[in-house]
Amino acid sequence: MAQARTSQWIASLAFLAIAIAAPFVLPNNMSQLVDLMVFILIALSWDMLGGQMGYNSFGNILFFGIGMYLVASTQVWMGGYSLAEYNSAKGGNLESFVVTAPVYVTSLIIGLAAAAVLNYFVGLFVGSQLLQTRGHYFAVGTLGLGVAAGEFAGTMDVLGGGSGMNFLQPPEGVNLTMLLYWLGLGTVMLFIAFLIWLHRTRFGFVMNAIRDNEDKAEAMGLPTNKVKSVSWAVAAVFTAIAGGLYGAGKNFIDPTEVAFSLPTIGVWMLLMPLMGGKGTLWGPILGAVLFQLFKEFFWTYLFGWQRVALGLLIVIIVVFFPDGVMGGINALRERLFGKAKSAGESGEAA
Amino acid sequence: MDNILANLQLLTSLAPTINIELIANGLLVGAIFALITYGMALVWGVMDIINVAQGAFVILGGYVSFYFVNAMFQIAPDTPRLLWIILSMPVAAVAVALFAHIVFKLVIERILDRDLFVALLATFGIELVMQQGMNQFFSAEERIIDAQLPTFAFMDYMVNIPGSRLLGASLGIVAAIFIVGLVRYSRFGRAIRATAQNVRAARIMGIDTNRVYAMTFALNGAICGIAGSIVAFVYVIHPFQGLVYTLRAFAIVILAGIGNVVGVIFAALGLGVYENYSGFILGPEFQDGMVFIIVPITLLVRAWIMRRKRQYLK
Amino acid sequence: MKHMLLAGAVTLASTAFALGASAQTITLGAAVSQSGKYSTNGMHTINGYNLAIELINARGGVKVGDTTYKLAIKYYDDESTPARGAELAERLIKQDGIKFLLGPYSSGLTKAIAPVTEKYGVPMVEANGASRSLFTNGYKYLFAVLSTSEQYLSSAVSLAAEMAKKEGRDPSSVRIAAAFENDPFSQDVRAGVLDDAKSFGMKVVIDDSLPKNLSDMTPTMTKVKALKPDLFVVSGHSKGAATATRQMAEQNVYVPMVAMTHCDSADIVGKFGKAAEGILCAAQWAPSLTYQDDLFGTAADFAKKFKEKYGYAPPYQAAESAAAVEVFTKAFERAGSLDQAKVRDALAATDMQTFYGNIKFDKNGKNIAKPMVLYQVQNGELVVVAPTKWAQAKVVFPRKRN
Repeated sequence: MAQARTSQWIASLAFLAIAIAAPFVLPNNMSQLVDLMVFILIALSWDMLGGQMGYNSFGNILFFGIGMYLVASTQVWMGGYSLAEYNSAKGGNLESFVVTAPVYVTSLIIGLAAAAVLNYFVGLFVGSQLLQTRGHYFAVGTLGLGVAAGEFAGTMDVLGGGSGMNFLQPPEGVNLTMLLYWLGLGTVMLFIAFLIWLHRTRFGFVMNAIRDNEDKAEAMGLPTNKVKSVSWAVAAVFTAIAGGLYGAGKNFIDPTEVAFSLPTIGVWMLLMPLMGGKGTLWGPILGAVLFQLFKEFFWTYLFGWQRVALGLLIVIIVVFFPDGVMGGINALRERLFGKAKSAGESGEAA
Repeated sequence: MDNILANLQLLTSLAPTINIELIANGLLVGAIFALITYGMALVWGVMDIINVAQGAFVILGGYVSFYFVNAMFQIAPDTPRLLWIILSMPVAAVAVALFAHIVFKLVIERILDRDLFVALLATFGIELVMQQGMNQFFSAEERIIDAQLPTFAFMDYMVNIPGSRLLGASLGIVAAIFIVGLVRYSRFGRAIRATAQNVRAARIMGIDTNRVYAMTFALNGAICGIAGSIVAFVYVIHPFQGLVYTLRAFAIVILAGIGNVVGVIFAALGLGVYENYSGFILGPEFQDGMVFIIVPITLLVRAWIMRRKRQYLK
Repeated sequence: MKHMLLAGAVTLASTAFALGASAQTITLGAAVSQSGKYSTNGMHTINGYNLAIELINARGGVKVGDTTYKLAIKYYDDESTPARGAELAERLIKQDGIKFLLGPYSSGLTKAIAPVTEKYGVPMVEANGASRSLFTNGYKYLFAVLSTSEQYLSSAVSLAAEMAKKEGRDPSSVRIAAAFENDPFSQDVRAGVLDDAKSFGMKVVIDDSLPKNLSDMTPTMTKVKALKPDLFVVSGHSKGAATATRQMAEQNVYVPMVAMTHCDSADIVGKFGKAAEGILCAAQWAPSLTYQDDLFGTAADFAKKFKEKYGYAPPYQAAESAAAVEVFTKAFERAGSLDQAKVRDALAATDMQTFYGNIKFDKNGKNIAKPMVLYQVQNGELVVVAPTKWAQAKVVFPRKRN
């Protein structure tokens, strides 16, 4: 066990080293790197439920969208402007809604923190309700919630309604993509450390027990309901931060196409863990990297056919490689060296 | 809020005409949803597969119909429109059924015994492929079939029943009755039901369940084809419009409960009316949200009822 | 299908060309919706761009200083999502080294892309982002050849006022029903209509926002029937125009004056025939206008060339897109350099006539030299009825009952 833990820390440090070097190696791909951090966050958060607990959620996009709107609104509010007034300009008059660089940066960070805290409670509440349904009913219920959220956000005039909402323009002297990248990387590292720690705690074992057999876990007197809701709440925290970073990077929020976009981000966030191998720590991260590479490749070279390619990719992954890359590696390792000792890491949802 | 009050006032002041019109049109729309949903519920119930590509199948049926009707007008311009529109339905049904069969052989067959989540994702992938594929093959232009049917007006033009909707709904009902009859009384239908009830038992009794699955999926394709041609002359078809139908079918199945055919029909009709009322009272921008929120709410209510019996929804 | 393949082929060819002989080619970049809900008009936009490029290259290209360049466009598909549009703009600029951008389709996408071009100082001439709010941000590198959103239906509102006066009523007695899609463009058009209505003292009795995945307008139609307004305005891109036209006819909705946007790109006349009769359509451009230039000839010549190549009559989205390319080439020629700042200044100094209309940018980059036109469907044709300078016929009011 201790050995596995050390190798996890070594892998984390290697990842950190690569991530720190990335902006210097690929200065022209900064916004893709920011997206990658966002993707890693949402993939890891999705995997907390989908991979570790066997609850496949389509509704994490809810937290993503709420986080995005919250960060944008916090920035406007901390800049000293009225949200209704700002949004009634429909993204216009940006010259009269200016903030200084320190205010911009602090309001961004406070906005992210606020998004994290608020979404913890949203996750707790929604989870305590929806997590009573199991299996595919949970997937279907969260799907309905995710789509509905975008539609309702589009009816709120204070958030710009269907016209969407702009983020404040970053003032001179703020290198926004760099800022977002380091914030994103910091959150990712925090999340990785948290997950490594979590998987060794009793809480982590209960999560896996729920995945393997919820009825038995419940019969053993484990606090399954609490663990389920709290896990989703934690996932909500990191998904919301990801949403805030993504929105700030894109600068413009459209309720259904950017914030609560189930057919794009909402599906990608579960595709990435599947690609990499769900139920593992490094699977979702690997999946996010692979997915970003595939996506960029398709969009660049398959103009007009990129969604066809993406659709085929999804079909191929779920049909032929349901265990993802990590699953493949584990299978290979088992064939070469016999069965791995720690079942908790490589186990697949029944 | 003022808006909503004003709408409510309008609704009560001009009752009954407005109410009759909202209900009548809602029922007619609901009949089309019922057809689409019946196919989805069939596949869901028999094969335990949620077909997210359902809407894309419908749109594909619409395109087949559109091109068939247009070609026929060019070959024989003096023939009655209605004839070709009605004939286009079996054509679309066969075409989409064939397509569905190809999809079945390539993808669905391989995920039959996997969990439902895999099916959701795989069919979502198919949906993506079909959307952009149709965009490339049929162009991004909105297409319609103009049925040129009269509108039936009642109560001094306050209640209007468009002929196209009436035709769509009645054809939908005819198709539904035919399919329900097929499932209930034919040998093939018995095999379908046996498979849905107990796969192992059905296999032991000598039913080729894999063939039953293939037939069921193709039958669903045929249903979508028919629904698609109805959509083409009642609404507008566009390559990316399919998700509207998928999500509504979804909400209806959840509302009705899986394996409940009668429930599907009532839920679909009800949804059509509900949608019109929420659009009228809250404003059309709420229409979609009010439909989709049905899914989690229904599940929560059912979970809550079951919890009182110390059971859970699975 | 053919156009799509063609568009793809042009892109492929142009990228290959750009790589092979970059010294002789100026590659413009564009992220346009090829898929998603804006794909219909994205297609018109791409066709407009491509036709302009083809004609310019056929005439030898663009002379900048002493060198003659061919033009090419590198396209990406933004899938009608603003997030994607912003990413692609950044990619065009940072990774593909594109120095000049053409606009995407729709206001929402333009809103997402404009901050990016502004950040990198990349001149963008756009032809399909009409949102008024785009031109209140002091953007220096954004130029729009089209009239802004609040102008779309304002001539329809003033026409309604005029007709009321003719009938001996006060314009403030006009009651308006409005149905606008819940997206950035249509909501901006709505804001314009509300302002105009206010200035005449008119009452907006229905103010509905249509869902983005519009398929049915029954609730709105029922309201319109019950409240019997004098003017019914609808805007929701092509699908909105098609759906409204069909359902107005089918549900026997009679309003004396109906005005829409996007009826030419939705081809409501071709699709619905008689049902479209009498509908007023706001358009940026019409083939019957008397503008001309030396590249395309007159507006009618452009329409002819376009129809020959793509097999359908050009909606204004195609015309304005072609004009955007033309504005760019003239700016290159006048700047005599491919320096971005110099081209920007040349663009800002643009004052020219194209087949599409006069183009002169104000300090915010919007075109102030071109009015909107208002069509009416009369006897199955789109006929210009306003402004009076180009009117081919008098407006028919009230609309005939079917």
